[in-house]
Parts: sequence; structure tokens; C-alpha cells
Amino acid sequence: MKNSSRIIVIGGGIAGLTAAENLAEIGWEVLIIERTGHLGGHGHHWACMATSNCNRCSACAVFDRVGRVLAHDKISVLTLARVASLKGEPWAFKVRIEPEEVREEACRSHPHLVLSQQREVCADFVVVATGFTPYDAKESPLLGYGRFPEVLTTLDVDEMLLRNHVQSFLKPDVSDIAFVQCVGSRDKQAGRDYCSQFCCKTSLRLARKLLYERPDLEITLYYIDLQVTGKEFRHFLKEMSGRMKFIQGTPAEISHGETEGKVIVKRFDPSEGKASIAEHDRVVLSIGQVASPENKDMADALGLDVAPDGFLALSEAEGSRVSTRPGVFLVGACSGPADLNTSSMQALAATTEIGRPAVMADTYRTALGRR
Amino acid sequence: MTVEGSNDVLVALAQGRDDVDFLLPPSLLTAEMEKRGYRVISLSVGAPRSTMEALVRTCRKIKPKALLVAGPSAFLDHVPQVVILDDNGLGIRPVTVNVVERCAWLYKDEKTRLKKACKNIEIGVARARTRPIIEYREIKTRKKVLLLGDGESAFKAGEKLAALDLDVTLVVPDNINLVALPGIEILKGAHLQALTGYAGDFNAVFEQNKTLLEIQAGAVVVGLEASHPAPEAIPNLEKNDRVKTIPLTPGDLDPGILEGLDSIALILDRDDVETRLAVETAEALAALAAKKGINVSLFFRHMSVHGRKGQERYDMLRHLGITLIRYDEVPKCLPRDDGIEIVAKDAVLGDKNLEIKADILFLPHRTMPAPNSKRLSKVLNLPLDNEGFFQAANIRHFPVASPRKGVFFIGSGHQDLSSEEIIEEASAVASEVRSLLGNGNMLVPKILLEHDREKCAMCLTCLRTCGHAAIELNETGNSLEFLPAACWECGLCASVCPQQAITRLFNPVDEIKAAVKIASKKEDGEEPVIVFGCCNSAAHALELAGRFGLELPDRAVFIEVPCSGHVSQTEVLNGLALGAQGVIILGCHSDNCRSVRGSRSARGKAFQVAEDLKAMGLEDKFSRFYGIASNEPFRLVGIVKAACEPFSADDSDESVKKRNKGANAGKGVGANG
Repeated sequence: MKNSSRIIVIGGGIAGLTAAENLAEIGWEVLIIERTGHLGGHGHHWACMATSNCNRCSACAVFDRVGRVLAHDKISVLTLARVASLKGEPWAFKVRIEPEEVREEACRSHPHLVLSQQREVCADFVVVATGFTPYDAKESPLLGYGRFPEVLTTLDVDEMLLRNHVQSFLKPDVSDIAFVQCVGSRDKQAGRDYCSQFCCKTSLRLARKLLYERPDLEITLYYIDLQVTGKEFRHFLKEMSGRMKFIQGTPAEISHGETEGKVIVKRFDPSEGKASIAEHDRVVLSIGQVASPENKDMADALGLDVAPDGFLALSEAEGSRVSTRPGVFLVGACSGPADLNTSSMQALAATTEIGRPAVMADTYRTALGRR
Repeated sequence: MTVEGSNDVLVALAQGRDDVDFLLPPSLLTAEMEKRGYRVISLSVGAPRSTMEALVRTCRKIKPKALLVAGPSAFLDHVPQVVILDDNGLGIRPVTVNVVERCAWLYKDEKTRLKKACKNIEIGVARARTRPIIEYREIKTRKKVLLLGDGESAFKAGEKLAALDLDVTLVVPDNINLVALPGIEILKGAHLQALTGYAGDFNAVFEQNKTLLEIQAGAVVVGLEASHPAPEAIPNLEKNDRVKTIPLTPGDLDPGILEGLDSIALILDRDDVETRLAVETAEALAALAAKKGINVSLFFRHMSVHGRKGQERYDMLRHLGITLIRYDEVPKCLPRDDGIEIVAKDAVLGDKNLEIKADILFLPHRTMPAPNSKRLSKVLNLPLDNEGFFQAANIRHFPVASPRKGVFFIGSGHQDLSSEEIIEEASAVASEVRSLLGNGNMLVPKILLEHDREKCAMCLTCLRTCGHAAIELNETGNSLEFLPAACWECGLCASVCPQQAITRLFNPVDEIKAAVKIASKKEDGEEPVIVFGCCNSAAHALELAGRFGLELPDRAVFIEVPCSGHVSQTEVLNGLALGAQGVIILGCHSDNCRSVRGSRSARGKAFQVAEDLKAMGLEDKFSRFYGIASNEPFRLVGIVKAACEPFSADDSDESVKKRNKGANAGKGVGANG
């Protein structure tokens, strides 16, 4: 007889952590398998957007979760590991785990959590939370990313903010910045006919942060439709509309200007029936979420299906987080673009579909102190 | 050196092998600590959970009065929420010290690493020694969930909660007609008047037909919908019967309203961006009409394509041949004999005026906070957000929770939701409630605070400051009751009490005093700078800093506190009196404090001390507060470094510039900044 009832959570980002914590709370033994050397997923790459107050980007909320998950006596973690195969059926899955090729970033990971050799574990259910990949802006060559140093992505600017190097972006001669929305999203021809859910909010918060650092900046935002979602976001948009310029219609091409250090943003202006151009010092491309290129391998290993847009496919059942394979659940951005809030909500929703464990394993008695 | 009474503390060093895992050779550290007279055991970090079990066994055998665990963060994260209980329910809470990210990774030579690690451990030991043994008890949690609601969200949540074996009582207003929901008890026309107690055992008082009704429940879910007043009238069309309102949800659509029409128009986003459900319903109505062969024009400012199916719905409208007009200026509407004429400028097409005629003009409902949200927010003791909706916009409690354990928010009364999200949220809240009440019992401390009734002036500052509703007036109204089960142990109540009538058993002033005393020992003639850091933000940031290889200056001494609000003015002054050059409090950014008012209070205290120092003419001492997030390791190190820079006699432009730059990076408050 099994002495514990176990759930395998694949992926240690916000969705996986939330699912793991909630399942452990009702008595499940949970094993988190994380490909990289650390838990928290993209939380490690996005900077804090607080100005004089918190702007609710939620990036830091990931760290609270990491602490709580590691502290839980029913959750174990294996890093630098990946799932090689999944056999069996619900209540009797057999999962083979292999060590991930060690990457550079692993140098500062926690040695004792690292999987050292292949092993097979039993599981009653599997929760997949492998997340997304940020869009590679080089795939849109006309936008000039990678060719002009003045063109950056939201992720690049975040990285600078995270490292407190924002001054290298906001050099004294920079006074005019443009944001370009929907880079990699809402593109039917490329098979990404979806809204990436988070980039409007990301750009507006970033704009606010930059204005906080440099109130004299002129900021323009090129958009298709602004997605106003989330708490107090109407409020936020109203405040920002007085401080920056919003232009409907995203540019087709970005090129170097005649003046040194300037870029030209070219877009079709239907009112004049021809192309119109504008000059900016810097352009920030607001990149969207793309299905992870590893989704196909993941689907093969786990026996799942991939949707036409590359994300993992959910079953037909309405409102359910179960995948096309019974007993395997999909949460977070692996099944379609999702922001942090939506991801954690999906993770919570999936846990309601999983019942209480049949056998409660009692390890040592603990009490939750500071929760 | 032998430390007095050091045997009552057990120092557990969680270590790997000398050669690979750590830059701080375990054997060296163990030897050094033993030399200083501590009782040391070694733990292998190879398997944290079995190691924890071994630690518990050891503690039960040797019964130390206090426990300190030192190691790497990934191991220590297993420790702080653990309470080691003996058979009588007495529990020790270990103090943890991170010697890897905060010492080993930070300093280049082994001697410094060892020195830093030992000092940090000694600070920890001093804190652990003052920590009392806390008695725990098991409380039974009730399985009943009170669900306040009047619409789809609450009904869906009721269904999900009942499916998870929870007893649901749905409290609905008088005017709601309900078909019986299986497994759900319904209470009609009752209004919540008071909510006391704590998660697992709330006591709710309702008023129903002018009588009071008490119900005990384990959790409360507020699922009241927003109110939806009719759209604001368009000038000239106030009483025109050709202007109609779009129903609330796609499910409410009646194809009958389209009977006999040739053309319709819909205008969205007139005064504000429409809610997502309103857009969904408008899209469904437009699609329905287009399929019937009716000419449809849809005017909007921002089309909502949010959600997995958002773009799909929008594409379908185009596919159905609906005229989509994105405007910058709100279209003008004029009454005509045979319909309504709409004059608009397309944002894309520019100056040309478009004139479109429609038989009927449809406008969406407006969305406002639930009518009784203000009153209910007072009853629940939970603030509204800035727009007046339920649940303050604090990411610590997103998506459905609140700072009051056991109280949850769902539905359009708290958040703009799509129809997909309504279902997701219902499941999410059911999951949260189950993990709270599902086990049938909870382990809670018997007592966490000592409240001196002699000293207490009943000013109620603590009661007003507590963000978790963990302090109540007792029944007679002449004394306070502290509820350990509701407490998050931020310690804010004690730090703001003007009479100092509240003493925290856990992390009391003594603990910090002891820590500060060791931390303030002058070394190399330099005065230390004490950094109090919130465990929810600054402590994470510091660990991350270690991972990025960033060093804190030697003079800085970091003391982790459960909330920045925990630090009182007395503690700041104590630190300065004990010889520190300055005190920095690092809390969460405003609106981001888990305990709601903690960081704001800390900011005020730091500022107050700074003012006092100025008034006393102590220009070389400082007290500052900075808001910091877990993901700001570089900024954290920048702030501390700037503060630790010695005030050199040579105030050259260069050094002034450097200092200003550092202070700028922080943007905090306080004197000498």
C-alpha cells in the first residue's frame, strides 16, 4: 500500500506554486519539478514597478509564495529537473524525471534541491504549470530590435530597472520615449491571434515608473485597443492619460533617423491616406506571451495535445482545467496567455477539481506561525 | 570566550559538504561556534524534510529552551513557519540565520565570511534566547460558510463550495427570486450587522425582519454584485423610446428585443471604459442581430479582447459584417422620425463625419460599487478600494482573500470579471475556503500578546491600527480582547501603543535589544548602521542580493522583523543609544503592506525620530524609512551603501555628488538624506 498520496506539479512559477500550496494544505504530498535552478519563474526577471506607492504589478507576490512553499512540510522540490515520460492513469501515474542539462544560471541555485540522477516516482495526479516564453522581438525584423540600440523591449527595460541601471536607459539626452503595443500578439498571420493579457498594464506601469524617475519625459504609446482590466485600472488609465500621449494604430516599421541617436516610427495614417512618421529617442516594444517552444516535447512526454497556437490544449469541458488526458491539469500560461492574477486563479480552480487525498500522510507536527 | 548560559540554546548548522556546496566550510564554522561555547549540532541539507524530522526528534530529546538554525535560504525557508511542539502543546519557534546568501556569498575572503557568519549567529542566539515558549491549542473549525450574494458569482461559488462538502448558507436580499440550489441553505432578507471572532469560528449577527439573528460560521464570502444603474441619458434623447439598455449578461439576452428591426447601433465606452461583461454582452447582442440579417453598427473607444476568447469574439464580429467604429470623441446622437442618427468620427479614418441611422440605439448599463458596500466594509472592518469597490487593491491578498483571515471577496462587487473568470473565481474561492476549513481543525497559539489592563487607557489606537481585525472590544465594551487565531503577528499594535501596555511574547522589545546590543559592538572603530527589514520584502531582497553577488557594507547589520510596523520608536532610539550611527527601516511600498498599515506607520516613526534627532542637534545620527520590494536587490544594496558611506571631512564635489546620487536612488524620507 502506498503510504502517501502524491501530486506532481511541473513548473515552479506562480501557477505551480499556488497549486502546490493549496493542495498541500488539504493533505496532499506535493512534488514540484522545476527546470531551472530556482523557484518563482518569471518573477525573477520583472522589476518592481512601485513609484511613491505600489503599482500592483504583483511581481513580488511570487516571492511570498516561494517562501511559503519551501516552508510547507508536505511539499518537496526538485530543481534542474524535467519530466521525461508519464505512464499510467489517474491514481496510478508513473512519472520519470531526468536531470536537466545544467545551465549557466544554475550556478547560484540551491545545491540540495537539485536532481542528480534519473528517477521514477508515483503520482495520483499531475498539474502542468510550465508557463510561457516572452516573444522574441527579433522575429519582427521591421521593428528594428537587435539592429538599433535605441529599440528595446519591456523585458530589457525591466532588467535595467531590476539592476538599478535605469540611468543607462534614461540618459540625459533622452527626452522622448515611445511604447509600441501588441508586439508578437494579435497577429493572425503568425498564428498568434490572441491578446497577451498583460502587456498594456506592463507598459502603462513602466511609463509611470519612468515618469517618476524623470517627470519631464515625453511618452507616446502606440496601441490597437487598450485593455483596461484589473483593480483600479480605470483610475490608473485616467491618471496616465493626462501625462502621456496615446496614439491609436501600431507602427509598421522602425528605422534610424537622420539625427544621431533618434529612431523614426513609421505607421500608416489612414486620415491622410499615407505613411506618417514620428521621431523618438527610444522605442520600447511591449512584447507578448508566446507558447513555449518546448510545449511540443512536453506534450509528447505527457501524452497531451497542443492547440494550433502552440499552447497546451485543455479538454472541451467548460470551466475545467483538465487537459485532454484525464488526471493531468493545466494551469497558468502553458494553456494560453495569462497574467499573474489569472494564473493563480486558474491554479486555485484546478485544485477544486482534485479531491482530498485518500491517505493522509502525517510527517511531523507543525503549526503555521506567521501566515 | 564562554557565553553565559549558552547551553540552553541549541545551534543547528545546516550544512553541505566542505568541498562543494558552500564557500563557508562547515567544519570551520562548527569549530568556531563550539569555541565560543555554544551547543552545536550539524544538519545535512541533503534532504530538508527528513533533516527537519531529525531536528524535531533531537529537540524533543534534549529539550532546549531556544533553537537557532543557520544555513542557506532554501533550507531556512523550511524552518520559520515550523513550531516544534512537545506533547503538552508547548512550542519553540526557531530563529533562523542565513549564513550562505548573507555571509558566504557576499564576502571574498574566508576570514571575513567566518567572522560575519559567527556574528550573525550570535545575534540570532541572542534573539532566540529571549523568545518565549508558546503554548498551542487545537481549535475546531466550523464547516459552515456564509455566502453573501445576489447574483451569478455567488450562485456559482455556492455550487462549488457545496461540491467540496462545505455547509453553505447563502444570504440574499429580499427581492431575489431563487430556484432552490441543491445543498445550499438560503437566508432571505438578512443584513449583516456585525462580524466578530476569527477564521474557523466567526460569529455573524444579522438583522432580519427587525430581529437579530446570530450565525456561527468558519468563513465568510462576500459575493455581492456591483450595482448597474441605467445608462446616463443622451441629450435630446432623454425620453426617446428608441434608446434601449443592453441586458446585463449574455445569458439575459432575449431575441425578442430585435423583432422587426432593420438596423441597430450600440455605443460603448461613453464616459468610461466598459466592464468586460458589458462588452461581452454587447458583442453577443451584435452577433445575434447580425445573424438575423439586421444591420449592426458598434461604436467603441477600446475594444476588449482580453481573455482567452476575446480576440475570437472580436474576429467573429468582423466576420459577420458588423460595422465597427472606433471613436476618439463620443458620437453625437440625434432624434429622427424613423430612428436615431449617429454622427461619429472614426479614430482611424480621421476628419470625415460618418452618419449612421439605426432603428434602435442600445447602451450598456453603468457599473458602480454595490449599494451597501460602504456600510458592509465598516462591518467587516476591511477597507474598500479607491473606486469604492470591495477589497482594497493590495496584491498581498489578490485574487480573492483579504487581510482578515477567513473573509473572501468574489464577484463584480470587487473586480471587473469576464464570464469565464466568474467561474474561475468561484472555484478559486472554494479552494481557498477548503484549505482553510477542510481539515476540521487548526493549531493556534493560546496567547501571543500580554495586555496590561492597568496601563491601558482604552484609547483604541491598537484596535484601529490592526489590519486583521484581531483586536475586539469585549462584550461589556470596557476592555480589549486579542484574538491569537486572527493575528498575523505583525506586532503593529504593540509598537503604536502610546501607553506601552501591549507586550509581544514573540519578538518582543527584548529580542531586538539583545540583537542590537551584539550588532552594535564597535568593530574596527566604526559605528554600525542597523537595518530593520520586513520579512515579506526586504529579507527576500537581501537573499536575492546575495545571489547576484552583491555585498552589504560591513557596518550594516540586518535584523529581520515580521513587519516594518513592528519596529517602534523606542527600538529605533534604543539602537541609536546603543551606539549605532543610524537606523534604516525597510518596509514594503505603500499599499503593499500585508498588514495594511505597517509600512505607513514605520515611515511615520522613522520620520518622527529623524525630527527628534534634528531637534536635539544630533546631526551625525540618522533614522530613515524606505519602501522596498522583494525584487529590488540592487536598490536595497544601493540604499544601505549610501547610508553607510562615512561623512568624510573632505566634502569634495565628488563625494557630495556620490552621496546625493545614492540618496536619490532611495527616495526615502528622513533627516540627513
